[in-house]
Amino acid sequence: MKNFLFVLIIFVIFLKVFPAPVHAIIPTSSITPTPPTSPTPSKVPFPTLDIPDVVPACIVSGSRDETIYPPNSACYAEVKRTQIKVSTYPKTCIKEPTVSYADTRTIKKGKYSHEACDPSVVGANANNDPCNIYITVTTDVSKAELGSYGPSYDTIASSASADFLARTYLFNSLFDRPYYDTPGTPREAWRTYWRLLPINEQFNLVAQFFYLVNLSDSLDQSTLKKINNTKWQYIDDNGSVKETTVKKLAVALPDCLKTIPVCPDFAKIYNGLNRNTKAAYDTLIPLSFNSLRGFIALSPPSFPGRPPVPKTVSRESMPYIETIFAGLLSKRFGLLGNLQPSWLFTQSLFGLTDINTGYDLSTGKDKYILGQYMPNQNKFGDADMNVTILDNADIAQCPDYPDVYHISAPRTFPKNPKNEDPYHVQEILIKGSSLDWKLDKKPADLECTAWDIHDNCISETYVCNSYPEHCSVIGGSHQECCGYIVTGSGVGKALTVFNNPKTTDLKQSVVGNTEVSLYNTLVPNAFLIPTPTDKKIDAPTSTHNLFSTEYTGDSSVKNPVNPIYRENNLAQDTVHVIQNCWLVPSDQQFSSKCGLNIIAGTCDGTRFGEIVDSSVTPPSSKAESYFSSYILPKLIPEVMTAYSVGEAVTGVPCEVLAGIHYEEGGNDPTRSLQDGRPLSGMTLVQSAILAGQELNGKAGGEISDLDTLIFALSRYNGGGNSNCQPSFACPAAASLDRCGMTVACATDPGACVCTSSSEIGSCRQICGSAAFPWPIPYNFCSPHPKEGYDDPYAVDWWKSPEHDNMYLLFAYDCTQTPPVLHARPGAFTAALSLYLSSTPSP
Amino acid sequence: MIKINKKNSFIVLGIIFISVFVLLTNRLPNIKKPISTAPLFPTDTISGKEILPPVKSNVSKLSEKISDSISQTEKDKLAPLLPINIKNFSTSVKIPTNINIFSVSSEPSQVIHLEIYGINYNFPDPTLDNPHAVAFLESFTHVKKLLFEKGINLNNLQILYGNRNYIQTTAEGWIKTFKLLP
Repeated sequence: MKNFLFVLIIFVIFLKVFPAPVHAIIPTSSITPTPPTSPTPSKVPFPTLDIPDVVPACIVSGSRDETIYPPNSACYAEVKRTQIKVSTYPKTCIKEPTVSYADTRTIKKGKYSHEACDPSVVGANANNDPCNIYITVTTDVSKAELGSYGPSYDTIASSASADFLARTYLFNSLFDRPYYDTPGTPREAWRTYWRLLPINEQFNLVAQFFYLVNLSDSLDQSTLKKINNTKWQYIDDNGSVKETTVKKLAVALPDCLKTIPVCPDFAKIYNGLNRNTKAAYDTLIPLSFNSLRGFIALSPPSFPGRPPVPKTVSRESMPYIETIFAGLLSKRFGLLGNLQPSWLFTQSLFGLTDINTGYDLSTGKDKYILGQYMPNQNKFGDADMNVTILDNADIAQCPDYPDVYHISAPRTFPKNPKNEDPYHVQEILIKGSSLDWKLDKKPADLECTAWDIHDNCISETYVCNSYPEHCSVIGGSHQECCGYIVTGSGVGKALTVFNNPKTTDLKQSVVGNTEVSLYNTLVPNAFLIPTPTDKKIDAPTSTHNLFSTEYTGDSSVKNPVNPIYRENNLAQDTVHVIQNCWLVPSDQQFSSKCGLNIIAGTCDGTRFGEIVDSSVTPPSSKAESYFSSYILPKLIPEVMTAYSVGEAVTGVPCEVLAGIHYEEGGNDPTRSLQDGRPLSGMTLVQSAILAGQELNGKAGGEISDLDTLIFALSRYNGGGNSNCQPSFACPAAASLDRCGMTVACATDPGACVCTSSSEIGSCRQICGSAAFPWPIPYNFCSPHPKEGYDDPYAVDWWKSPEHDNMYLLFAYDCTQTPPVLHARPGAFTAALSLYLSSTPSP
Repeated sequence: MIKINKKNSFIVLGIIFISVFVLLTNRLPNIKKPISTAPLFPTDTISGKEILPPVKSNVSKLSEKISDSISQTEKDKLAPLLPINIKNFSTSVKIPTNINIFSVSSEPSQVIHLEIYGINYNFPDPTLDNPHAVAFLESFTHVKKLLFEKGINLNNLQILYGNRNYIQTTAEGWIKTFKLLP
């Protein structure tokens, strides 16, 4: 016993001196590995280049944007090299602005009067160019986002697990890896690339990475291959946040791990590294995160006799694309190169556009031009491309793309050639001959013309103060004023979006190339079914703003907010299908993209798309992140099937039923869409059908437009939480947590029930029923929103800022409670997220 | 060899207890709670506040007052007119209402929905000081008159006033107090 006590005490002292390593960070049996607590966001962002100042392009409105790429690194938006062959840039667009015009015109007086300009008077074919109206519209693209490929800082910070990111983003699905060094981390935390690349080649890749980061400036002048000296953070095996740079790590490493190839006993050398150096080595992602170039350009229409409006170009910095490109297609280290025989890989890649733009896989040389901003010359290195870009900005009308994705992604920091915020200007012509004229009458004002000595009016006359002319001018009454209401509309020119040619390469290498693509390599021929369809990316966002109307009248832009369409999400869809459908047993497939072709219908977004048009405002980024993290994983085939049947029977879109079920029961297949309680005798399909029928009833028939859908959803929940209802500060409620119908409710939540009438002395009886008894701190009630647009159940977290902070007002039936943030997306918001980001392929 | 007696056993147990306590307190701060990979959906709390989600209306209770057959007969007369949608009905308390009358095929065939929107049924007091009650009274009276002219007697129908139970309770309370369906 004495020995036992002695050993026990020594053991305790030992544990005190050598604290236990962190082993419980990651659930080791999970197939969806979760990263440990992220480094505090305030520590994360900083520039990654070896330059003393903050990268100019990261400055937005005077402060640094905290978008980060690579993950767990810092904002870096500069572009080292630009692909010079403009014809290889796949083009998409931004919708052309449409404007409406209105004016009140005189009958006879002036240059734009009825007699001078109305085609019914001057003749439809008469030259009435002098009557033309020119409207100037500017397009602001400064808020542009990448739209796909990799997550933004917010998304990384708010995602519950790395697996959710991997389902959504191409980068994460293939190349992500943990930024912590913990024994027992499941191998799935290292994504596909790291699990397929042989271990010695992983060491060689890091050695090459050090070489490229340390490349001399003179050599970089000719190759433009130097990679940024990335600074990143990691969590060591004590759980501490550390940070380092590639160069610092290289200094701490023995030569064996820095030479190419690494020395034969590299594994032994690696195992001998001290713990901190090893942790830094393990968390480095040795891929180039240099941004690539994209452009948005407008070559505005010109009109005879008008001074030309200057052509404009914006440069975008596209993150992640180079990283994925290098990871897939690097000859020695690329994922495809490691899957294919060398001869086949080299031979089959000659169709890729990057070769056309100058990259030579066999020699490693490329012929890009410098793309970085050069402060001393106040221009970008690729400014000479302006003319070529503008000559090719030839998309006049932007088509309605049938299937469009929206995924939250980093910003691209568009800048004009002088590194200023980008605005594109154009004139829209409304021909005088196209205007619509309608005669309008208003009573004339009675005005006094003479007064007696007591200031009494003794003579009056009818005058037209605010309306053009007396109707007597055209044979009408002198007591009425006449004018012509003139209306018209015009359409401008679309903006051309030049996607980087490497986006085509990504598509080709993942799915397009029939010989070596990832899809064709991994999916057996016998099972070759139609691959996911090519979908555009709906990247937020551009804004058309009215600048001026010449020469008379008022106008407004009918489509102010428009997505920036980009190429494309086929590669991501395909990898998603491979990883989440082909390689997973059917009963464990949690993705709506795994072919939900079911008996009674398909949840493919068609019906939802009939209700919302393509210009619908996407949900806020926090709603998107929440959707990816908390809702999407719940949309398993069982619930999606029920929503699809519900849609087939009732016409209510499956996405809307998913949104209702999310609000009511967290998309739990055992809970109803009516009130989230256990189904009890009803199947989920029956519940979905009933919900659809009830919603149609509240809509007054089949739902065909957005406003109807919104108010129907609000009515579905009773509408009591509408944030714009009357409210006041009732003194009797000030110190209470509940204002109910019984006296006891003030102290006992169990007593907060609906009664036939309020008890005397209860909060409700004192405060009355005319208004909510606490001020509702919702600031978007003027003008009063349409029904449902102030109801968190329907629209919370949809549009920013008006739906950013919405309040729950009744935590119990018949009982008001102090407004509390309803911190989750509303039913419509969730439905829209599902429609935009997870519409399954047909 | 220590002889184990009662006194010694207390000492031994005490040392073991202290050792285990020190061991646990030493290790606990280093054990980070794993983040759930599939966080539970917060069905019963919002921003940390407990909520009691509303319950759906109980359709089966409707037949306690009016038999299924009577209601079915009356509904058959009403069915050709459905759905009825009355938009922006003005009330004296400046609460405009919208009124929808419809039926749902998934529910018992004798049931109809008579739903009046724009009213907050969370204010159930059946008094003329309550603008919500007044708006309901006026809207319901309008509907009753309208249907009466078509030969429909609301007294004979199993009516749902909403898909939430509190709406049903509140509406039935107002109808009873104001004697809207005597």
